[in-house]
This record gives sequence, structure tokens and C-alpha cells, in this order.
Amino acid sequence: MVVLINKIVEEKLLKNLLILKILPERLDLTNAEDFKKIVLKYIDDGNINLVLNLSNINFLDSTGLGALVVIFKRLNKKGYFSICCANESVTSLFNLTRMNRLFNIFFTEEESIKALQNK
Amino acid sequence: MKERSIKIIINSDPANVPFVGNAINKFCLLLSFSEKVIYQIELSVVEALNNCIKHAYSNNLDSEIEIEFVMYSDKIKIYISDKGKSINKEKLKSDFNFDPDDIPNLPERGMGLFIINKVMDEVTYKKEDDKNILIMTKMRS
Repeated sequence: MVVLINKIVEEKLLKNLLILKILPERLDLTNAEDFKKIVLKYIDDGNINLVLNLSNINFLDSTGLGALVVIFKRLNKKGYFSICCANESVTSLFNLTRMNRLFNIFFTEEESIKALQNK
Repeated sequence: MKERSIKIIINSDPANVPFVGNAINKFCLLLSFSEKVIYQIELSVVEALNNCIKHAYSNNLDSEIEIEFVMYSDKIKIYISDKGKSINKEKLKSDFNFDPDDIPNLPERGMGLFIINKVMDEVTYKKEDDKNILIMTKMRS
């Protein structure tokens, strides 16, 4: 369903790196399952180096966070996964749940890209 | 002293949750909490509603959830009531531990009550007649 994909993420491909910008302002129980399926499809299609840009997100709940964990698990050891541009509130959820210990988190998209190049 | 209160009744449809989230967010602005704390209060309300939908009502969309926000000079109290299955008392205080190196067993769910307990200053849960009521209090710092 191309329409749905366009609504949830916007893709940008840089050589071997896929950058997905999440488009809605909320990632929660209403859309986390669709989001997860779409991103896992990208990974299964061979995009194993992934940056998720959260700049649009102003609300993330534990369902959305759970989707990020599933994506992390799918890419672990197989590829590269990082998160960028999360606002202070969203970052506080990563810290609260201690998921900050798992994810590579960067302030900007450029830093995320650079981290992969330096890997 | 009770200053102001708002009561909202919704059907247990996930599509209704963001509306309640936005309402508590705006309500908290009146108490001049920081942006981050307002997000965390909204998050606690959303997690509590998600739990009602998923666990109390097993994803049935047509059951009723009642939400009441009460503002005091020094705190906000939030009451969330459902008439579904009660929360197991042990789960209420359960911690959320995981080993970041044990990748296959990383938790993908079950974080809601942990988040609520972490964010709120006081969390109580009681059964009154056929109602389960979760009461969350956040002090104004």
C-alpha cells in the first residue's frame, strides 16, 4: 500500500544508507503497528543500514517505543541502526525506560550519517 | 483546594486516546509544568488508557472509559476508570529490568505501568463497585 507508506515515512537513500523520516507527529497505539511493518519491510528488502529521523515526532508512547525495539532487534549485528533528531521530551522516554543504553542516538541527521561512515 | 476539574468519557477505541492526550496536555499548561513534564503526564495518561483498552477491555472498542483531571494549587490528580478486567496487584508495582546485551529477550511491551510509576508522585488503584479506578498524582515542583 504505497499511500500508507507515504503517510508514515519519507525515504531518502544515501549510497548504502536509508534515512526514514517519520512523518506523523505522534507514534502511538494508533499507528505503531503499521509503522513497524513498513520499516521491517524496508529491512527485509535489504536496507540494513538505517537512520530514523524523529524530528516530526512530538509524542511517543511505549507502543511506539516497542516498535523501535523490534527494529533494533531485527538490525542488530546485521546492520547499522541509529535514531536522530528526537526532541527533549521523546529523549526523556528513552532515558526513563533506559532504552538509551540500546540505541545509537544523535542530535542531527549529519551526526548519524557520519557515525556510520566512521564505523 | 480543588480549583478546576474536567471529566471526559470515551469509548475504548485507540483513535480516541490522542484527543484525551491533547486535553491533558493543554490542561497542564495552566499549572505551568515544564514542556518535558507535561509530555510525561500526557504519556502516563495515554499509557493508562492503552492499558484499559488492551487489558481491561481486551481491545473491544465499544466499552467506556472515564477520565477526570482535577487541578489543585499544588498538584494535578488524574482519575481513570474502567469497568473491565482489573489489573493484577503484583503488576502494579512491577519493575522493568532488562539486560541490554541480551538482544533476543529485549522487552517490546509491558512498559506502561513502569512509566506511570516513574513519572507520577503517587499512584493508587482501587475497585469501587464494578469500577476499576487508577488515581495518579503529580505534584507541582
